[in-house]
Amino acid sequence: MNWKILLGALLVIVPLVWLLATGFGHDPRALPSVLEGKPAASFTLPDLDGGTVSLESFRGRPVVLNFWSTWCVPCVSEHPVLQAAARGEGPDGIVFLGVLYGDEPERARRYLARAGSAYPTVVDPTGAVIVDYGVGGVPETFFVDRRGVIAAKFTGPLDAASLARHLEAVR
Amino acid sequence: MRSLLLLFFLAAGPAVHAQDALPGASSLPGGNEAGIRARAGALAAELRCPVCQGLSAADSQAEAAVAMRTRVEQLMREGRSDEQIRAWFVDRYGEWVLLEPPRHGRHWIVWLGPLVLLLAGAGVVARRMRIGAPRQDATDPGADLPADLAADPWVQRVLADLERR
Repeated sequence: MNWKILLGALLVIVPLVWLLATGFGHDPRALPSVLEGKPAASFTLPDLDGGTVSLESFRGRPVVLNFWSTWCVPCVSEHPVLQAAARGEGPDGIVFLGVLYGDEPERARRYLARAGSAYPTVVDPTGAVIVDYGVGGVPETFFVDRRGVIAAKFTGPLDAASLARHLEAVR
Repeated sequence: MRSLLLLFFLAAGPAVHAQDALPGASSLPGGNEAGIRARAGALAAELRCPVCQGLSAADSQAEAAVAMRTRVEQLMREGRSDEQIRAWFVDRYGEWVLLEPPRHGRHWIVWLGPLVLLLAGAGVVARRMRIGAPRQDATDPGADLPADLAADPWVQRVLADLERR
């Protein structure tokens, strides 16, 4: 009788522990990057300086697409890392492009004037591009290769080492 | 007009096959403005607002949620079915974007698990109740009594009471 109870308990407990172990082993905030390997959605949007930027115009060059806002603390912390990397690129190097997320263009202009700006930031007034890229929060950075395919997505603030690794992968 | 109709059927063809639930009105592409609004509201309620905690895209005024609702309506105007629009969002956000777990593969565990546990529990309860209940095949309670004791009127009353039970 006792071994029957033991067997029954094991039958319930073992799968349960396995389920919880796999469940808690995952970071629930780490969103799976389903877009990797898929073509980057095209867009043509106004930038903060009164111009227009189209993603297609960079075809043939890798693109770093960084979704950010001024109210996002991790974005502010990764800002110098991105700026330094962008300044290191030649005229035919990797293109850096910011997409403003949930923020006032005027505030972003003031912020960039103060914190430095080595590349354009576009404004997405309808949020269409945010949905196209499945952006959950900021910062999120997409690395688009020369063919216009999303090679990687990085969620959270980039440090110099992670950025360098991802840049080498698409270069 | 004819080309519009053709477009309608071309768009509806795969949609009808892709639809596994909610047949009827929800699979019709286009439709009037109020219909699209209602359909979009219902579909947005199935999509997770990416910047909220446990809210659907229909329940939030966050920029991302508003943008998702706008996109749902736009895709509906383009004539896509609910199933196609769900797939569109899953392609970009992952299955995470669906508030209800999908019904395939290992996801069945969350749908069937509670049912299996309920049935198992009912089985245990039923077994317990059968063990505790008086046995129907019990022998005559007075059968093994000595004759003089069985003749005692008080014992006979007790036995009669037992019979009645």
